[in-house]
Amino acid sequence: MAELTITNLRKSFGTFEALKDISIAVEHGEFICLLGGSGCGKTTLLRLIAGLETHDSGDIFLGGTDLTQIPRHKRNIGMVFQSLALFPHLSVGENIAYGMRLRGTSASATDQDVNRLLEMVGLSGLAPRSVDALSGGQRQRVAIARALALQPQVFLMDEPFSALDAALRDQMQKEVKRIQRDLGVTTVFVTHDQREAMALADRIVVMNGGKIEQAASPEDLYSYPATRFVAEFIGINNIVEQEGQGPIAVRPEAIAVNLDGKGLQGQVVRQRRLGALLEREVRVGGQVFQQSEIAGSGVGVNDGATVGLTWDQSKVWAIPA
Amino acid sequence: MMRSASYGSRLIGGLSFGVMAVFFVIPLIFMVIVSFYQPDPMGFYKVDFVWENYRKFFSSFYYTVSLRSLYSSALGAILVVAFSFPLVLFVSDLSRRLQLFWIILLLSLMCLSEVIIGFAWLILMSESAGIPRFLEWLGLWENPRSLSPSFGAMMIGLVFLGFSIVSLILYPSVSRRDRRLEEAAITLGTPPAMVFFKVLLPTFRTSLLSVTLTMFVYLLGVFVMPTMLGRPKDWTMTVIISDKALGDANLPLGAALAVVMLLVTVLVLFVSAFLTRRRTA
Repeated sequence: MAELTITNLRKSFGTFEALKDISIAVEHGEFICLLGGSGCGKTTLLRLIAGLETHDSGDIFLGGTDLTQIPRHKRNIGMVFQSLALFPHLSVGENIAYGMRLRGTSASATDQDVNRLLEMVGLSGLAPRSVDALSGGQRQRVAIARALALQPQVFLMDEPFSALDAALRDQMQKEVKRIQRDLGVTTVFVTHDQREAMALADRIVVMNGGKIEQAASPEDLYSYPATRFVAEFIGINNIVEQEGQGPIAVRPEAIAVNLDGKGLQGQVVRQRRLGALLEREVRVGGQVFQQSEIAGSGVGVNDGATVGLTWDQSKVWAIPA
Repeated sequence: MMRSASYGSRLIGGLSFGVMAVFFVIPLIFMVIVSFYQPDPMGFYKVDFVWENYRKFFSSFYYTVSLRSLYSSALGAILVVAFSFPLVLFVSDLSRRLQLFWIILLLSLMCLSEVIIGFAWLILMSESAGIPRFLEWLGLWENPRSLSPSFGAMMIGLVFLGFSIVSLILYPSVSRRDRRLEEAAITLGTPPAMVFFKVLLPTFRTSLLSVTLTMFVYLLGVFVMPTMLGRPKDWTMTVIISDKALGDANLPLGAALAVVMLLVTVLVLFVSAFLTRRRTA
């Protein structure tokens, strides 16, 4: 049975429907990413699980208990906020120990746990520091350690790395993934960055307009998008309308360029070389196709040249109606 | 360009410093000088250098009055902040429109002069009208009498006076606070009723202390409320000083008392600044 089960969940703010009939089941130990643009409802869904908003209708079950019946401060969840929300008046160690002290855990057991958690996030010995004296990445680690201190049944993260630079974000993603694997904690991670979702998730839930477009593994999401929105949202895709049939999605790397007059004929609009990759834009009628290949693997053409575009039918995905 | 810009800013800085000197430092120096003069019952003072005026302060009367002033200002400041902070927290969670309503209300409270507020409370607490009559009508008070003048009435006046000021000082930082901090505390198991004590009070500790000190100094100088709503024995040093300086035409004694109060205030501020710095370090 799934660890976290959400069924027919709805939430409105005034006239705005933030969540329209959301249902999803998260397995024990699974890492789920809620992915979508702003206003798609991903953060609202996370806040409903945490109990920071009240739902209009539907159910949230965590490990067989109805979460909506449990007061928000008694749900066994750990949450990392976008702003981190570290307590500025407490030291690093006191921040992490906060929940344990509240539960009345003995001082020695708390100290032991704090040290173990600090070691886990690579901040050994920083317990007496003030949180203001930490770097951005260190603060992230403290927030993660604090959220995991009470051994939550589910670990929630709301775009925690959006304020970090690219290199640090990359490093934090790897660490979070490692910690999550080590602890085996069921995790729901909200992000608007599809690269982040791809790097972290066992399963990505793509949300749009308060609904789930598709929930699938990163590979399946990329290769077999269930809707046109997902096909256009995840990576780059060429959507080709076909007469009498539904549209098909062709990835840039599935397209080959030829000078033999085969396939769709079009003009090369632009080419750019990105390291090992060569990207082309080819105008065919009113549509611009994105094509990419390993540089030097295909024919060399100049901008403005007329080329033919062909693709392997086995790599084409017919978008379900 | 750089030179002239820094020259301009220096000019502005110098100008405000000059204004400060003319309107604050010079009268202060004058006050200190006068405090050593001889009182003259016929005129205001006679030029001299005597310690007599300061010696009078240490007579038990002035001593008691100044301690009372410190006590009532400190109590008033603490009460003002204790009432304002929860209210500002409450208001900051209301809708934009209601928040605006509250701010306009507080601003209009500030527009009222101390005299009008004092009179309003005087009427509200009088025997013939207001609160005592209302309590009688409710059957809670059989034989109502006027509630003022009294220490309590004076406190109400002081709290009312400071309330809008403190609320408006606290409002910007309270309304812009990171509410995720409170949510984080809840997800970590803090009962919602405890969030105020576990998170809000500690995070606002420094600004609450500084606004309490501001209020303390402000209330030390309040003149109308004690005279209107307090008994003579509740009168603060400010009232006594003006009584001596203007009523008894003893400007040197008034000046000496003012200098002592100034020193005491500065001392109190230094001690509390030192204590808060030690606690935050």
